[in-house]
Parts: sequence; C-alpha cells; structure tokens
Amino acid sequence: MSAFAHDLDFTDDGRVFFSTVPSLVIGGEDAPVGEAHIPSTEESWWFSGMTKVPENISDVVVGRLEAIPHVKAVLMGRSGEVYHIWTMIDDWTVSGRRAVYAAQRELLARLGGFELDFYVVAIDEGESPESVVSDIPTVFRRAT
Amino acid sequence: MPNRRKVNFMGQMRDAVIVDFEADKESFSTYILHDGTSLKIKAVLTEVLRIEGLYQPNGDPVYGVQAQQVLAVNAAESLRKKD
Repeated sequence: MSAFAHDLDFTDDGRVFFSTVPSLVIGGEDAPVGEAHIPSTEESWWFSGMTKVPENISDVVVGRLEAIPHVKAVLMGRSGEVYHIWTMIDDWTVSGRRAVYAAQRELLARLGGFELDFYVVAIDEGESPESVVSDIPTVFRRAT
Repeated sequence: MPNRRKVNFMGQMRDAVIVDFEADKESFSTYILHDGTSLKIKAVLTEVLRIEGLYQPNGDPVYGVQAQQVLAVNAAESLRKKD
C-alpha cells in the first residue's frame, strides 16, 4: 500500500525545510516499513543561513542607522512579510533613543509598503549583538 | 575550470559553483506522532552550489542545495485500514 505525501513546508526562513519536492510514502498493513523517492519535477533550492533579506533593503536600513554614532550594530531578518530590525545602541538615554526613533520614522517613510518591525536594545561595551538576539543576521557592526 | 551555473537567489540570478560531494552520514530523523504512528524522514542531496560573492554574517559562503526527501511511515495499528 502506498500513497504520495503532500508537500511539507516546515518553515520559510531558509534554514531547515522541505518544500515542493514530492515524496513517496510506503507503509500500511500489507507492506513492510520502507522508503522510496521520486525525482523532483521542479527546481527548488534550500540556501544556508538566514539570508532572506534582499541586499538593497538592508543597505537602506544600514545606511541610515550607521549614521548614528551610538548605533553599534544592526541585525535584520525576515519572517514572512515582516522585516525585523534590531538596533543595538550603547547610549540608553532619551537623546540616544530619539535619534534612533527618528531614523526609524525616516525608514518607514522611505520603505513604504514594507512591513518593518523595529527593536532598540542597549548593549554593554564588549557585548556581542548575537548574544542578545540569536538567529538573526548582523548586517552592520561598527568597528571598534 | 570549475563547473558553474546560474541560480535564482531571492529573485536575482547569481553565479554559483557546482560543488561535488559525498555522503558522510545520512541518517533519518525520527518522530513519534501523537496518533501513535512513527515517522522517519531524511534528505538526500542531489546537487550543491556555492554562490559566488555572497556570504553569511559569520563569513561563511552561502550554499544552496537540492535534495530529495525520503519519508517512511510505520502507522499505528489502530489507524490501519481493516479488511
């Protein structure tokens, strides 16, 4: 007894997922547990890393945020239609946050139509941005 | 001269190098479904590319793979079709 399985789309973040590749399932009462596969009928690539952010969008984001001296790093990843942007600053003051918020408003205006989700986090000197937020690529890190 | 091809990455056609490979370990991942069925699944690579000029934040180049999935099911006795 056999049947074709439906496509399995576990996640769309470019890490671990199976998509659009049909698989043949073998099982059932009269058949031993087995395995088989059939060739894919279309090209479907899995890419390493979370690199779903188009370079031009991240360039715009980084270009604006890196102009703020207190910004030490920017991390950016995409989940579905939402671009998550983490801004790491070393100055958790009203003036420091306002500078970042002003940049965020500019980016929202420039990138109208894109759904942007901003976070601002203070990091200590020597602290790694990746230790604060994991699994999101660092798109900018200020040289020390 | 390495074997090359173009690949669609995020809507852009990028140059890539076809990388030969061999299987090291190719084990199944196994799962127990809450309906009592056990399931095994694994990916079998069929082609590997290294995209030129594209890197992850840690410096690793970006690789693309094509793979076939192999899925094996051992259904719970209660779920099997009765004659």
